[in-house]
Amino acid sequence: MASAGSGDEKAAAAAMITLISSDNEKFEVTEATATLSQTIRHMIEDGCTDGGVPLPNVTSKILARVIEYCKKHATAAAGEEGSSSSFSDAAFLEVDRAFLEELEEFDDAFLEVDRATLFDLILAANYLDIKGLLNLTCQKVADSVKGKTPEQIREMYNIVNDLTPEEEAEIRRETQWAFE
Amino acid sequence: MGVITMAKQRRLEEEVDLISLLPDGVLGDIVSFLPTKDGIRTQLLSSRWRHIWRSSAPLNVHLHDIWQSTRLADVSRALSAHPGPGRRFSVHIDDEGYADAALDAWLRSPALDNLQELEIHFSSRLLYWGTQSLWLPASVFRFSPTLRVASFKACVIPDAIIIGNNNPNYWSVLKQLTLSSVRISEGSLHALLAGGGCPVLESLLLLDNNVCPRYRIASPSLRSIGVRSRWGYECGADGEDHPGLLQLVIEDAPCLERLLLFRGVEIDVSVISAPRLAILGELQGHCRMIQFGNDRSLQGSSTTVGILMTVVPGIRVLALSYVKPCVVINLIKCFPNLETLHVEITTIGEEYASYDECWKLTGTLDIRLRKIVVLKYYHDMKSYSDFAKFFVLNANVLESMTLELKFGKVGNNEWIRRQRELLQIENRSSRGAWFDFVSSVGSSSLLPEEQVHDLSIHDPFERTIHQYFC
Repeated sequence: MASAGSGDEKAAAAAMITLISSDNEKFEVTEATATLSQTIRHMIEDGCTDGGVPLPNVTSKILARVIEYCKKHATAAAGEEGSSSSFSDAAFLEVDRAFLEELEEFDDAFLEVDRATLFDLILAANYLDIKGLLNLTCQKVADSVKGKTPEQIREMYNIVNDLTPEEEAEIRRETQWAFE
Repeated sequence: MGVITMAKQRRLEEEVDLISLLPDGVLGDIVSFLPTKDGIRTQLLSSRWRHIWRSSAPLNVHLHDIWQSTRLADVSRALSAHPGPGRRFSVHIDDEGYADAALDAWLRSPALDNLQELEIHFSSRLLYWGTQSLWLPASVFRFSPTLRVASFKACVIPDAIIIGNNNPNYWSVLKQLTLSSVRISEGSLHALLAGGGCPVLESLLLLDNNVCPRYRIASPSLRSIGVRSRWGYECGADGEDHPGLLQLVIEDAPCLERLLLFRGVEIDVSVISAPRLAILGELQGHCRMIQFGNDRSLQGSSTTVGILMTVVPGIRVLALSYVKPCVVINLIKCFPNLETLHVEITTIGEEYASYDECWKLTGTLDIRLRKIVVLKYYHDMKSYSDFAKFFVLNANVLESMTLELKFGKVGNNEWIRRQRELLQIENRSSRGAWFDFVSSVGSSSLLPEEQVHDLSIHDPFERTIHQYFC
C-alpha cells in the first residue's frame, strides 16, 4: 500500500475487493471495478465485504468475463469525469473519442460468444445488477428476434409452443393488428 | 474424449430452450428493446411468453406512418392493453382523422408512466393545411422525473403550458431536445431553458422553427446547440405572416461547447457569454452578422464575418463556407487558438489587389492550425492554389491538409506531382505535415443535424470515411 502512493485519493483508488465464484475461485478487483455492480456497491456500503464477496450464482468462467467488462467500463467512467472538467484541453477530446470508439469495439467483441454464454452473462448481469451489461446483452437478444415471425423465433430458440389451439386463436384475435 | 463431451454439451445447449429459463424481468427487458409490434407478437410464442409483454416489459411504443385511422386506434389499443411503465413512445402522425384530444389521452395513459424517450412528430401537411390545432398538452411535462430524450415536430407549444405554468419543473432529467418546425415563442423557449426547468439539458436542436424572429438562449447546462432557419414566410398564431428565424442570441451558456449552424437562411448570431465555446460553424461569408461579447459599441453595427475584430481564444474547430480568402485570414486572427479549419472559399468578386494584401501578412501571423480541410478545391484556379499555398508556407505546426476537389477525381501520379509543385509542398513550413487530395463528393452538407446530440464526436464537421467512399 505504501508504495502505491501517499495521498488519500490513491489509497482509495487502490482499495481491493475479493469476489468468490460459485466454484470457489477468488478474483481480486478494484472497488471502482466492483461497484459497477449495484449489488456489490450496496454490500460495500453495508460493510459486508470483509473476507470476500461470495457469488454463488456465478461460475468462475462467467465471472471472469463480467470482470473483464467492468474493468473496461470502469476506466471509461473515470475517463468521462476527467474530460468534462478539462474540456479546454483538446488532447483530452482526442483521447475521449478514441476511447469511446475502442469501447464500442470492445462491446462488439465482448458479445461474440455462444448462446449459452450469452444467457449466463445476462443472468449474471441481472443478479449483480450491472445495468450497462444487462442492456448490452438484452439488446443483442432483441436484435436477433427483431422482424421475425413467432414461428421463426420458436425455431431459433427451441421454444416449444404449448398454447392450446383455443388460446392461440384468442391471442391472435387480440393482437391481430400487430400482424398487419 | 474431453473435447467430444464439450461438443456434445454444446449441442445439447443449442437444443434446449435456454431463453425461456430467463427470469420474467429479463424477458421483459428483452421485449422492451423490440419495436411495439414485434413486442406484442411475442405473446404468441408459448404460455411462458404470453404475459411478458403485458406484465413486465416497459412499454416501447413505436408506430410510424399513421395515415389510416385504424393506425391511430392502434396507439390507443397498445396503450390500453399495457399497464406500464413505458420506455419509449414514438409516434409519427399524418392522419386527417387525428383529434387534438387524442394526444393528451395517450400521454396520460398509465402505460407511459416513467417514460424515458418521447417523440411526437406530426406531418408538416397537417400543421399547414389541417384543421387540428396540434397543440402539445401540458401532460408532456408529467414525465419530468424520467424523460431523457424528447423530439417534437410540426406542432405548437402554446405559451400557456410553459409561461402559464406555476411550477416550472418541466423536464428535470432531460438531456436531448429536438424542436423541428415547432411553433414556440421566444419567451416560452427562454423560460423552458433558463428557468431551471431543464437543469441538465445537454443538447438542443432547433430546426425551421419559423414563427419567431429571434431566440435567446440562456441555459446552465447546455453543451451543444444546432440551429437551422428555413426559407419562406409562415403564418403565426396571431394571423400575421412571419419571416422566420433571423437572429440567435446566446445570452448565457456557461457550458456551451458547440454552436452548429446548418445551411438554410442565414441568421445573425450574437454570442454574449459562452466561455467554453470551442466548436463553431458553418459561418457563411456573405450577409451573416456575428458578434461576440457584450460590446455595446458593436451593437447595431453590421459585424460580418469579414470584419470581425473580437478575439475569441476558445475556438478550436471552425467551419467556413463561401468566404473570401482574406476573410479566412482575418478570422484566423480572431481565433488565435484555432486547431482545425474546414473551409470552402469563393473567389467571386475577389480583387487580386486585396488578395495581395493578405500575402503581405506572410511570416507575420502565428498560425496554430494543425488540420485544414479545403472543401470544393478548384485545382485549376490560381486563387485556390494560392490560398492553399498560403497555409503550406505559413502554418508552422500543421499536421495535415486535405484538399477535397470541387470537380472530378484525383488524377494519376503525374497529376499529383504537378499539384504538389503548385502548392510548393517541398517548401512547406511544417516538415511533418502530410497532404492529401480527395475526389469530389456529391453531398455538400457538412454535417447531419442529429450530430448536434452526439457529444462524443470531437469534430462534427469531419467527413467520415463512409462519406468519402460511398
